[in-house]
Amino acid sequence: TAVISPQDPTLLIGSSLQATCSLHGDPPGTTAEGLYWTLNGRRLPPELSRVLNASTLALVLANLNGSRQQSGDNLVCHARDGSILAGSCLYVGLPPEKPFNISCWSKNMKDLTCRWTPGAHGETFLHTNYSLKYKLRWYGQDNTCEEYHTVGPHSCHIPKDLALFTPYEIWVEATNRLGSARSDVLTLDILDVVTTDPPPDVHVSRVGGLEDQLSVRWVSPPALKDFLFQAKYQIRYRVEDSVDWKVVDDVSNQTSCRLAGLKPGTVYFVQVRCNPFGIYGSKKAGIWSEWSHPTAASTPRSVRRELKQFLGWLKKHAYCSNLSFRLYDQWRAWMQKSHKTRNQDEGILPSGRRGAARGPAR
Amino acid sequence: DSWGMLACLCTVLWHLPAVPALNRTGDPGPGPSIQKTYDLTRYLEHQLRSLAGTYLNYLGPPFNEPDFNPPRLGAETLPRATVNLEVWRSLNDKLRLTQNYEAYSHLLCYLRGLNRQAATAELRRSLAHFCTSLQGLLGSIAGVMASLGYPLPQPLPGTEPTWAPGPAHSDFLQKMDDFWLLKELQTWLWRSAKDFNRLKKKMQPPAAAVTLHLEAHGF
Repeated sequence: TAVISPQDPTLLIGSSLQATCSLHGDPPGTTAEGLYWTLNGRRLPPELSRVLNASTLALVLANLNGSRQQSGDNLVCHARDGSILAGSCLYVGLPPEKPFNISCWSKNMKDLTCRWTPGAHGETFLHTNYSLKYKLRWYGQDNTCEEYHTVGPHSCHIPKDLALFTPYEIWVEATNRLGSARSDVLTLDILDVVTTDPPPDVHVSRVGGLEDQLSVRWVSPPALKDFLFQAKYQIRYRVEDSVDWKVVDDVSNQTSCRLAGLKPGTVYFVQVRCNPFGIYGSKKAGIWSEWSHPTAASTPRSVRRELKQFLGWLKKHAYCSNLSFRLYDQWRAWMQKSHKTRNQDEGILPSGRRGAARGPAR
Repeated sequence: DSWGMLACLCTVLWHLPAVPALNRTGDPGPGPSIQKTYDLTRYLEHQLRSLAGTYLNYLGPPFNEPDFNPPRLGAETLPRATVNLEVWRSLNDKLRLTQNYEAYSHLLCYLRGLNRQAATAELRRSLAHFCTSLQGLLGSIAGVMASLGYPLPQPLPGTEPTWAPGPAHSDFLQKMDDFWLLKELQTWLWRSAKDFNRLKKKMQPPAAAVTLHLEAHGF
């Protein structure tokens, strides 16, 4: 066997490494001649190696790249027949940068979940350990968050023992083999960052036969009753193939809203979210919840418009140039009149209701 | 005729002890639990395949290369699955089960000690999940042994397998040990499937014996 020196070194990207492979207790006759190096399974060019003496092979690697895997690059010294004599793990990377963009929220005023963004580079080549710390602003003891990766790779959840009406200082420490970095401190009061789950049971339905309207209904989040706060809502909607959302903002305390001015015969996606406010009497709002799952609904097709388009097409193809839109309007008026008299006899439909949704018999 | 009925009843009751199978009507025997253990080894084998793939990629080349065969140094203490075919064939049931039980106890212990601080959270979760499944396998083997009346092997004091890295235990040596642990686990699961298949075949005849008895007494 042999021994590689240095054993498991940590290096900065761009630095150089000088290593040696020294034979130990092998049967006499084995020399450093014929030994060779591989890095991550690939044989290194012979010009990088040098035989120092009968039992030592040296290696010089310049301008090192970041480690291929976080467990370290595998530098191996092989005997002439290819068998492994010794190995060393190289950890090449950068010290961590300051984590930033810490955001926290509480779902039930007893816990706190925080998320942050890692500083740019050092994070991928070497394993970087993140630690979320918090303490009450004016009483000294530091606490460390224990439940990580709750909402993504850079997040932590503090489940209990949090005080209300008093500010906390929160920060994130990033550490790896080459050093550590600390984020800026975020100060907050739990009651200022309250949020809820999105409103459940969002239903979107047509408003009778109205071609340009949809009715949205939802249920207020259950936490509302438990924690005695009010909620304000926001609705957003978009046409099926579009990416532009329209937002309806002042949906204060109601749990329903009617969208108007929509295109007939179109599929719309609708989402609702809510923001708790008036928590324990304060005037401040909390944090907006996630948007509810998109609910889809379509506005009724405008039969009149479609017929107009159809007649236009017919005219172009000169099949029946006698037909005109006027004829259709006359027919519709006649239909409505006969509908009215018929139903007044039977007393079923309320007068004035549009029969357009029924349309001509198919 | 009430005396006639009593006589008939007495005859029936007198004959009952001669049909021992009737005593065990509620006991299906070790068969189902052997089948379950066999199924578990196949499931674990499947789970290990994906876990090992991910783990070896984490260790990086050459560990994840197909024919990689490093020296087996620290892994000397791992329980070896490979055994001479004749020796394997001639194992009695108790020894066969005991070897399986002891092997997985050791392997589970080493797996738990696989303290790869740098591993991703996902890898740590997969490892933990595998350990739980392996514990299930141990429980299953213990169940089979109990139903056959064999005592569970007790760990002798002082021979507790400890993952004791020597003072010069480098990260690279640790990687090689990890490699062999996964390899040995794989081999054991292959072997266990054969062990339990063999046991399953041995346990089948008794069901035929029960029907024979019933026919002989005209029930």
